[in-house]
This record gives sequence, structure tokens and C-alpha cells, in this order.
Amino acid sequence: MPELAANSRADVHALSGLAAGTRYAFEFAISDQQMTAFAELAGDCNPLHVDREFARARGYAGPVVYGGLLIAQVSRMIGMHLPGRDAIWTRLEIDFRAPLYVGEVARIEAEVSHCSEAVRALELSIRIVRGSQVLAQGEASVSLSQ
Amino acid sequence: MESSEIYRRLTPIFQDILDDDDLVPSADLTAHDVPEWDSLRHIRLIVTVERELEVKFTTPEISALENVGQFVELIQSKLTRA
Repeated sequence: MPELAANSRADVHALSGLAAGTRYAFEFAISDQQMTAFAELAGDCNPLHVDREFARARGYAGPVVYGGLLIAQVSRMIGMHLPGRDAIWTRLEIDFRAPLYVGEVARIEAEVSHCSEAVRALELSIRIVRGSQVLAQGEASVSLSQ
Repeated sequence: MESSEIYRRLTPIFQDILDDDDLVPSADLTAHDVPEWDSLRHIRLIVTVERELEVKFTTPEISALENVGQFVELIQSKLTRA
């Protein structure tokens, strides 16, 4: 079994424990290896993401972390933590506000904004921040299997 | 809240979630009448109505609904009790 799977067990929450206001957050940083892996996976080799000099010439401090890798952290949040094991996404809206660079530490924060027990669904507010700066924010809808 | 006001509040929600700008929810409307009204959009409808009208439903209440008219009656009963 891959190491990631062996070390990773999704959190389990009863719907009654997911009232509006429930929060979870964790920090992450994107590595060069993850950038390379994503470029290969997505087939997106845009030089803003893979060419340091090109990115700098365009006014960025370095290669810009793929938005897809930020969304991957949203996936980790929903699938592993809030709400965790029984979750499946049904909607995601996200605005990217500022770039994240390789190796920088960012923090993803999620909060339940609405919990519908009738249809076992949650609405989450999501923010990705670097210090006090908001890099991305949005909303996700999540269904919970029985 | 009068039922006419509830229908007025529901109309943009139905139009947005069911992707039909011309849709006007009526009492006898059901999910069978709207091709886009699948299970996921049904969940979004319920969640959005809960949020917009500040009501909460239970699973048995939602499961028992047969048409929009019954949904409006349910909403009205919730708002009357509130």
C-alpha cells in the first residue's frame, strides 16, 4: 500500500456534529516535485508554472503554483477532514485572488456555513491564505452518503 | 408569509438551479416535469431554500412531498411556526 494511503485515514463525523460554524484548517506547501507531477498529470506546461525566468519576466516572484493544486487541497479538506470519509463534492466555486509560490506555506480554512439534515448536505466556506493575505476563496457543496 | 410571496421567492431559485429562466413554479409542478431536476439539483434546491428562506426541513418532510404546492405549504407552515 502506498505510504500516503497507509498514513491517511479520513475523519468520520456524524451529521449532527457538523452544525453551521464547525471549522477545520491545516497548513500546506507545494513542492517542485508536486508541480512537476501536476504538469505531467494535467498536461499544462504553461511557462508561468514551469519556467522561473519566464514567470519573473512577467512580474511574478517565481513559478506560480497551479490553481489545480490549490483545488487539490480543497479535495483533501473535504475528503479527509471536513466532513471527511462520507463526503462527495457536488459543487465548487472558487476565486483566485493572488498567486502562491512553490515552497511557501499556506493555510486552508473551511467552515460549515449550512447543514441540511433533510438531504444530508453541507455548504462550506473555504479560504486559502498566506499569512493575512487571501489567495483564494470560495464555496463548496458536499453530499454525505449514509 | 402568503403563499404567493413564497412562490415569488422560489421562482429565481428554481430558475437558477434548474437552468431555466422561463420556469415559473406552480402548485402541480413535479420533478418529472423538468428534465434538469435530478437528484443533485434536488439537494441544491432544498439547501438553497433552507438558506434563503431561513427554514429547516426534515428527511420525512422532504420525502413526503409530491409537488411544489405541497412544498410551498410546508414552507408556509414552517414560517408560521417561526
